[in-house]
Amino acid sequence: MGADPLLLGKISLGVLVLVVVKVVVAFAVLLVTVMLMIWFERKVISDMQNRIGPNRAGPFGLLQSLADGIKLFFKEDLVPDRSDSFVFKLAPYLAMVPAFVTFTIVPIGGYIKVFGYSTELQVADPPMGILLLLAMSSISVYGVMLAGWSSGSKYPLLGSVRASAQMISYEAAMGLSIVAVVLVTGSLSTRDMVLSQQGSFFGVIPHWNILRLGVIPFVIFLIAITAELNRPPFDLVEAEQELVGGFNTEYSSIRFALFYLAEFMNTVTMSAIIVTLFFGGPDGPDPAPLHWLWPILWFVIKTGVFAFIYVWLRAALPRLRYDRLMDLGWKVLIPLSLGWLLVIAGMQISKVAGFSMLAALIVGAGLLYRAMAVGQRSNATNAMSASLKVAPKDALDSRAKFGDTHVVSGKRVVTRISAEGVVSSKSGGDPDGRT
Amino acid sequence: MNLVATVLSGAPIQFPSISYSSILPEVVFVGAAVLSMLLVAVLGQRDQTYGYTGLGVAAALFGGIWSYHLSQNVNARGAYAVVGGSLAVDGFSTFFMILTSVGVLITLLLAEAYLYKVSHRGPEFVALTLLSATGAMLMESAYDLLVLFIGLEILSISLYVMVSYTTSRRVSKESAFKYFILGGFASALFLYGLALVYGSTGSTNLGNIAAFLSKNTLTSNGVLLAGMVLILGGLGFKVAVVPFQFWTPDVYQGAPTSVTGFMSGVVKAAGFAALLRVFYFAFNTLRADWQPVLEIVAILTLLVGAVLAVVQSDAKRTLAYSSINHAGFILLGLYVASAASIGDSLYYLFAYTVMSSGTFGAISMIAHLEGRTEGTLSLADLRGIGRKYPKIALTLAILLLAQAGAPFTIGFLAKFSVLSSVVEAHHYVIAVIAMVSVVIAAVLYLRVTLSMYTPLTKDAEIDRVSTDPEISLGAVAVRVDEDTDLKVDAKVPVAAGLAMGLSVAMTVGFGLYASPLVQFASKAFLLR
Amino acid sequence: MAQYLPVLVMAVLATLFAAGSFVASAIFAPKRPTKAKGAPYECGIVPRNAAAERFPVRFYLVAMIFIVFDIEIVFLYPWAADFRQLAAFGFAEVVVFAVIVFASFVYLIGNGALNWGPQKRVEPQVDLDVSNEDSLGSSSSGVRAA
Repeated sequence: MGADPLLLGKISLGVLVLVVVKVVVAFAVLLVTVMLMIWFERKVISDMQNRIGPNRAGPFGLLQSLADGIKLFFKEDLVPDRSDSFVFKLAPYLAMVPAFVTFTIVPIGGYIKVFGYSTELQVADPPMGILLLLAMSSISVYGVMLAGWSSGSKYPLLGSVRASAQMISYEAAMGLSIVAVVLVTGSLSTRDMVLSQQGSFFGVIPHWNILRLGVIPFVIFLIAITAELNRPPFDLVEAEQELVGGFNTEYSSIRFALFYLAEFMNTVTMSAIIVTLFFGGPDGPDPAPLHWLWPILWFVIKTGVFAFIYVWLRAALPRLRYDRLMDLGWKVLIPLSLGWLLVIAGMQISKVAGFSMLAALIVGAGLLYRAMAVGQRSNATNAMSASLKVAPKDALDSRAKFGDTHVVSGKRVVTRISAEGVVSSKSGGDPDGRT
Repeated sequence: MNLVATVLSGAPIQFPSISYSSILPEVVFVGAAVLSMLLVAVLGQRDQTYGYTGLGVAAALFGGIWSYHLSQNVNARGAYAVVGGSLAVDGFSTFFMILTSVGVLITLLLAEAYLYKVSHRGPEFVALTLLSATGAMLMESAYDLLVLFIGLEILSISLYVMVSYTTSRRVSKESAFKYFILGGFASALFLYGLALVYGSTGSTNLGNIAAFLSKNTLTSNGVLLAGMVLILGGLGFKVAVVPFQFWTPDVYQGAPTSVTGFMSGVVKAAGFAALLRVFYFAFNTLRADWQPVLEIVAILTLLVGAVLAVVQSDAKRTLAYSSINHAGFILLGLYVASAASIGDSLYYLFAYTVMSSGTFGAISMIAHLEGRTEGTLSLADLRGIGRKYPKIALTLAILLLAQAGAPFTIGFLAKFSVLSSVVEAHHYVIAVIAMVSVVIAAVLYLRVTLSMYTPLTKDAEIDRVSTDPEISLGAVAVRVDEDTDLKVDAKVPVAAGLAMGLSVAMTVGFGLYASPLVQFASKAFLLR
Repeated sequence: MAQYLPVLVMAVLATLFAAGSFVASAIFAPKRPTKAKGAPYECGIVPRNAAAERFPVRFYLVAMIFIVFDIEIVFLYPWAADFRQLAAFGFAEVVVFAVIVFASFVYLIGNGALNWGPQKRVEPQVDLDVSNEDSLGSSSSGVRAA
């Protein structure tokens, strides 16, 4: 069971002050990190695209993000007339607070002693730490969903519905790959997860979860997290060719800045979470004096690598099509993570159980592949519900309601096309069925 | 020590021993359901429904035979509880499991014969029936209120889908929606009752509740009584006793007929099994509190069912009200609450399941042959059926007379034994009321039976049609033309024939040679 | 529960930071609303209709299927945390559970419940709703007469 020694005893005023100091320091460091992350991303992408990137504000343009932020304070804050004003104002909180809270469970280093109090280099170490990650990633779906819904505008709404479908789809895969980590750790505390990864195989290969779990949960987690963050190549939420700005189209000024902040904060936090879950967190060689510094250094280096990978993915990969995205999530990642989880569990029991689970995984994959072929043949959900037999009538209804700007010929369900972005809403054809 | 505390303390967890052979019927049912769904996903074959029906029928047969085997075991070794004392294996549960298997068998055969002609094909119906029956079996053998609730939910959720199975029919949707809303309400009632009983007795295990109540006398038992009433309400909904019967006619009419048969047989049996076990066993020491309530409920159920059945014009609505009347009889056995009367209730339940499944099957058959949508067959439509389809009419007549309690059928002995145990317990008033309701209901059954054999003249036909405003005059001409050749070659699908044969054979067979079933029912003791 | 104290402090601090930003923005930012600024953004075209009210049913389907998997995950977490004590017994139970969930998942896939790609147009079919109408509801008789 994870527990911060600081909070095990009575909560005195000194402890409380120390907690607040820890939180404030973490908060400030996070804000600076996010600023750097935005600069880093812009700079790296510029390099990859053979551009220069921000280079005016501060040395190497380091202060560019700060300048942008300050600028946004002075911009007019618009709330659209048709919006649900309370929810519209609430949504940025729901996007930003989870991003900060998630970071609290990340272990950064070992233990330190401050004013006689021993404490972990980690903001909080609750016994159910990793569940906080799941809870917060669920709440951040609300931020995106409510932002789009309350805007009273169609592009944000389309973006947010897409986003929430995407985020909940990948949340399942993410949850299943974390279960694998919990399985070998035997605890839900992030500190315990990091501790259980210390040591090495044969004295050379680090005893990290990525190797212990056979790489697959890590790959699934990386992909799922990328989709969860709406980062490229899974950034269909803000596919500007189709949806203008996505769920935050109607947001301006500081509200927009907070969404932007939350997005990059999440990128940093999730890099840290990956390091915690699969790469031993602050684990690493400790060659010299300053024993408290090395773990932090290793942690920062590892996190930086993943931050770079996110930027690299953005520069290198084109955006996925929406159906491919959902197929990848549902038909590959979820079953694979479930099957691999059972393989890991079986291996813990006995070799026989493990290999029989592996065999079951292969058989299951065969069944699934076959079912996919059958599913493609069956006329969509028609086989499942007879109510779809009246689809053409519904289609006409939805066209009447859905919008004159959509120009799609024939009786296809217009909502489907535009909402999923399979066909651009601006494709040719006769303009309006009713004229 | 509870599980959480055990885990936190790091002590080794005691695993419950699961006797898989004792829960094999449930396992096989779930397995067959899952397999059928897997098969359709992998093979993509939806049209060959007989394959799925065959799978379901095999599972049902296996379930019935294995349950019989279990009951022999119980006879030899005595009753026992499995899965950490949450499921009872006793004469009572095995009796009901056999009953459930028979109900599933008839339902699946009838569905194969008729249902897939009006709704989409595939394994879903088979899977849902098997899952629902699994829930029923869990309810029947539950020795813990929480397991009972899980069984209730498995049963109900599958059933909501089954009721709406012919989605293209508006009446089916309507009835499914009613059933869903009210069913959810009833589940909530049951759960509240469970919570209150747990709060006042400190356990959800029925054995512990019974032990607690026999050892302690609660000085203020308002919470416990409220819990009992709520549990009665929740289960009373499933078995359709007054005042929880309002959904019955609508849902019975709107649901596909094979599902109606399933509801009137298997679901009712499961609900009564739970009621009997909870009230007769767990709350046995409180019988002074619940007997008066059951008395009123039973009287109302008997009268409302019989009287309202007579004034109906639709065939399935009539049968729905008559099922309420039957529920009153079964409730009488619980009301008397003696070992013999519980056996009588079980016998009655078996009789009723067999009779009602067959009756609904026959109705389904006639509706299909007449080209009427299920749920629109009125009693007037039955006139002259005796000439048109002699075999089916004979079947229906036998089953209806059995429901009325005619001698030499299973229904006679059922009614007789329940009434005799009521009389033996000196509850004369309620016995008289029950007799009156029998007479009222008998009028109905006889009327329908007679009208089936009334020759259909042209005048009568026009008379019938003209009372039906939905058929235009043009249709009259067509109808009369058809009727010039009264004897229609009635082709009965093999599956339906099997189902009806099974039902009639049991109705008459156990009526003539009653002792095995009576013995079996009277031996179906509860685990103590 | 003391271990959750820093989490709470962080949440409060983040909320305060956001609120403070709004206050600062309210002080510094200009306020000159016009009708055009308040209108939904539609790439410069004057909006006529409200935002969409209806969405393809498959979004809802995904939400429902997600619930199934979410519940599975909820079951798996406590199992995984206590896996060493539950050992072979827990493993067997979870395999049974996973097989059932996986079978229903295969069923969903096999019925095209998660197909998202471009599809063939759904052809108008014979409307069973009218031909099989019956006379229970008051609404149905009108349909039948027509």
